[in-house]
Amino acid sequence: MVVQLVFKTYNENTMQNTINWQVYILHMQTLLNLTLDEINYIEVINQMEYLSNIAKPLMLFPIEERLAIAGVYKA
Amino acid sequence: MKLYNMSILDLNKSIRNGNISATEIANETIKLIHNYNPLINAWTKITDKRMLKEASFIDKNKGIKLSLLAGIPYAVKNIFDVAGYTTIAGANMFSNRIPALKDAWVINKLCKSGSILSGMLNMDAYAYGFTTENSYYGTTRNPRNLQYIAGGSSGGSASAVASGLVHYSLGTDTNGSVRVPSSLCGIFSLKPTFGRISRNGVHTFVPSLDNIGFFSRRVDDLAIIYDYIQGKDNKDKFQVNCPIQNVFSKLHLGKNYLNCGILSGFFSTWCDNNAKIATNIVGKALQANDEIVIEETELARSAAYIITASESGNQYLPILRQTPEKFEINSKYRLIAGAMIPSAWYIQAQRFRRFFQKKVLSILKKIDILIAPATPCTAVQIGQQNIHINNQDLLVRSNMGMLTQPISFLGLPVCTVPVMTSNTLPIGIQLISAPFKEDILLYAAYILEQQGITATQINITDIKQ
Repeated sequence: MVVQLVFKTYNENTMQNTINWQVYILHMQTLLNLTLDEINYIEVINQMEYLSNIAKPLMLFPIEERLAIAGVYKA
Repeated sequence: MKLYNMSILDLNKSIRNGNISATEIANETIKLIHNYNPLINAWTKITDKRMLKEASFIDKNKGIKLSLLAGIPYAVKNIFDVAGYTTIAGANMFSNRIPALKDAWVINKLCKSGSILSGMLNMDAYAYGFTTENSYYGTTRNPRNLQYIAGGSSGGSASAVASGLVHYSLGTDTNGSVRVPSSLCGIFSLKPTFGRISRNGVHTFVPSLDNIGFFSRRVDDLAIIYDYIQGKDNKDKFQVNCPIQNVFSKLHLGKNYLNCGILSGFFSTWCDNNAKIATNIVGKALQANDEIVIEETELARSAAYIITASESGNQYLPILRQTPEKFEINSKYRLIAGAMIPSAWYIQAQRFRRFFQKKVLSILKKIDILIAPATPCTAVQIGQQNIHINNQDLLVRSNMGMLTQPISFLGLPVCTVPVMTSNTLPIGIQLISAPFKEDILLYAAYILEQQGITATQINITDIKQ
């Protein structure tokens, strides 16, 4: 099977809350070997939507190409 | 002799002069904790035997030169390893684990200095929260008003010191868990630079952000404690190789003029009038002439939130798989969602952290101390769900730390000083400096204390019942 990857620029549309978090959580549940009951499932969807709203402006923030992750300060 | 009206220095002098023994101090402290802890619910374990043993050792070795902390009672958040006791990190599910084999590195330092440990203190489960309304160990109450929260997650640590039952306590601060309770309980605290103090022997929450911090009732005491808990620990790979900075002996010498500025924008938008007035009082006393707005502060908070959720979610993933029913309901869903965060969000947050550090460090080249409120408002009633700030209702549990989060995200040192407000409750003001400049923070706090700007400390007899 040939999988064609389409690379998109991260833009506001990418992070609209049209993502189907139910499907995402279902896959992640399998990937992480977690068992969620129905109540857990609904609550986790709420949390993921909250996190995605927080992540949206952060992902849109332009970061210099060579900027590495933060470490500790040097005295 | 009222022990807790005395500074560490004065109490230590009394021991040296033979006016009181360490054993007498230990006995009096144990008696007071047993009498008053039921009111505040700060201690989850009282270590009577250990305290008396440590006190007895001091009394038997009076001929040897005693350190300034010899015979001084303290307590620690139950997230620190204490030899012979189980480290519960506020979570009942850890209560059956085997006891710690040895003390956390920092407790070992305090033990060697002769300080006497009274016990372990309540906290939000896993250190995830700002209220210390713990569903298993109960709510810790604020000694300023017992109907109000102490803040969290190191709420037991703040309540223990604010009530005057011990001179100082240790806590941890990931997003504000030392600064928030010190603000709501009206005491002093210091959260040193990220990487300054060894975290060896402390239960992990968010390794990229976890700091050890401590609480006291006076700036002198804060400086003495800071002097004793520094030092190199080869086993903590996050620790910075940094020479010991002796602060206490230089605290009263006076310094050149400090260039201070008030953080505005995000910090003045997301707080109430009491917090604004208190910030301005501190700003005026420190002659802060500049107002500084850092545009990306809200993003910094978001990035801290993503890092916290992701690292803590991963930390608890094995237990979430095996026994999800054992998790505190307030934290369980946040932890599961955190474990599922896309890696791109997490890495973006960590890279943004570097960007934001560079930006703020350039400001701190021109300004010695930045001033901002530690909490959006004063303490709220136990059980209260929301605070009304900037015309919005915000959840107390996750938003009481909204003004501390962007600063710990940077890893900067912060000294929180208490200021009284018109509603008879105190609020803490954060004094923030460049990395490893803890000395100027303590000096600024000392100036404020000397000028009578900071809130008067209460003692056990002041507690309203």
